[in-house]
Amino acid sequence: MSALMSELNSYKMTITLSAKLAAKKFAERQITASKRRQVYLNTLAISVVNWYLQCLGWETDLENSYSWNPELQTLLDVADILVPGCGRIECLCVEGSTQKLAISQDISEDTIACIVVNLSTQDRFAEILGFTKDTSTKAISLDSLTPIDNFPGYLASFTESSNLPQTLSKLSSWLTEACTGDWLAWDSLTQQNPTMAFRTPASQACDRRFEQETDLETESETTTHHKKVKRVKVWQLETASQSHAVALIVELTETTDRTVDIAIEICPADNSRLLPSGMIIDIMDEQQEIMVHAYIQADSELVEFSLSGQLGEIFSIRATLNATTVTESIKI
Amino acid sequence: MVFDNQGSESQQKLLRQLLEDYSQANDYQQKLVVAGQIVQLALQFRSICRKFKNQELVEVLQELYDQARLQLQQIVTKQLDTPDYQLKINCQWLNESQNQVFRQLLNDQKLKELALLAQQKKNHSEERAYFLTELVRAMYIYNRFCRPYKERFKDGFYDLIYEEAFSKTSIFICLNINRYDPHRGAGKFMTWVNFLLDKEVLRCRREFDLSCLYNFATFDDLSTIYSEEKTQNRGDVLYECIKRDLSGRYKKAHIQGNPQGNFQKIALARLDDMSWEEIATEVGSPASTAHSFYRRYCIKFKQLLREELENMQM
Repeated sequence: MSALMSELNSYKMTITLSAKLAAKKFAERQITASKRRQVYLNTLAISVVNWYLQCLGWETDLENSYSWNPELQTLLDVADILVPGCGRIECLCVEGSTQKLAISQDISEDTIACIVVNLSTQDRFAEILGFTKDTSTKAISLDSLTPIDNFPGYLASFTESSNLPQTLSKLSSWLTEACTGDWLAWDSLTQQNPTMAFRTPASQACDRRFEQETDLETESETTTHHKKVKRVKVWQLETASQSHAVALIVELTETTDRTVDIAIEICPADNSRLLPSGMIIDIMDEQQEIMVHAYIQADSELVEFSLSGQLGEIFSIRATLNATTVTESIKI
Repeated sequence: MVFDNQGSESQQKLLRQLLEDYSQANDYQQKLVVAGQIVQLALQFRSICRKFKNQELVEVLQELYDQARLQLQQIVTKQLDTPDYQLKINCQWLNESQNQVFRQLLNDQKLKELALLAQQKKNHSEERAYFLTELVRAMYIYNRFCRPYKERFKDGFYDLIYEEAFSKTSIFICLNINRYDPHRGAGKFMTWVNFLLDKEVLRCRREFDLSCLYNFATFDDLSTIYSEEKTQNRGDVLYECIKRDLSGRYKKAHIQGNPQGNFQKIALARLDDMSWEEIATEVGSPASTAHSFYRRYCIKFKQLLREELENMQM
């Protein structure tokens, strides 16, 4: 069996088949020999770092990384990996005994670190040498790198700061009071505001769902007299190149004295039919512990969650897209 | 599993020094101290039982570490007693012995405890990353992985597919550690891992069909990649697409106050391998200005470029 990861203090691993095939595929699209070589090596370094990051427990989003975009591969010298909620990590590749290496000037402003990978001859093995937080310099020397063992702590510092609740909405008051803050009543939004993107043909599914639910609602009200209320809030998720509007729809049903059923739905609120791919939805408890974690695939129209809770309990819903995070903290 | 056991230069130097000290030592007590230092040197290069931010090791790791140290002490002392110990004790032997000791001491229960510790830590926290690293490395040292379906593959391809599946399985375990359920079946950690690995080997076999592997086999020397010869490819189509500029937007977008420095001109120059200094002279703006303009607009136009490219290739 070949070495998949060696011991000692460094991370050494084999370069897998899929990494080589991707590197070959991407390199073959390039115009010049030097560009083919650059893209080939970049892709191998990305695959190695991507493996490392995921083995630390962090999801990565190659689909939305510039380095995985065929056009940008040709136009720029980029080897980024997008870590949702943290930013981009640039992968730098050294071969042989180089002591100093150049940092591409094409890297994006939301790059939080460069990780340096050493590729051995014949591209059999790769080793992570260390990282640097300083992404603004033009060149770094290998002996100034920070040991990679310090990287998990650095990465965690980005997710921890985004965990702070930004707003706190009180659900219990919804059953008795009118809308406050940037929450809107579902009816007012769908009936009085036809210009809202919810009514565009692309998102009619949203309306259809609403109609079905209204029927159900009438039915359940006649039989059980449970109080229901449905409100919506629009999140703007900005990325470097695009802005996405996403609707957070929350429906409350009071079941017993102190228990409330909560249905949460997240769907596009702009002209898109699909949710932005790579978006992550987390539902967290009061201690910011993740209870539900959902990764949005490329073809999702909506996501739904249902939970129930006692009056007074606090939970948060967090959406993460690329390096942008929005959090809604809710008190039942 | 093969480990890189040659040892670093500094480790070799330290070991030579310690062996020298040992040969000079003239009483039992002194020899014992040096033997202990050799053990310490071996342990410095361990891959598991590493401290988290200088804190005490958790119980399961501390116990493992203490046992490993004791056993290594016995092995090293025994080796030092042989007449040709100077030849037998080198970094490779030391690191292999260290590895061997950990392999023998590890068991499923210990892996399970590490997995449960990782589960308890908050997702995306430094602590979880630490326990996942300890777990993955311990799993590799323990090395009780299944090697399923070997007979279904042609020679040489199995190892490639297995490596791929192995790498994917490691990722799955780390991203989905909470899915490990110790109460399911016998609750063995390696049973869960091998169940995942088995499935992944089959999945990878489907994903990388044989034609792709044959293609790969002819590719090792990279000559096709690095050669100057080439056929029309996606890069050329992209060049053509920017040159044609169907929407007129590539020419229209320019550096503020300098219509000469437009996206089309800069992009084509870049694709022709012109340096930023040459481009700066050509368009009459500083290189840094041209560069940052170009970078921003590459990202801005990425969707448009994709759409145009797809239309051209149809």
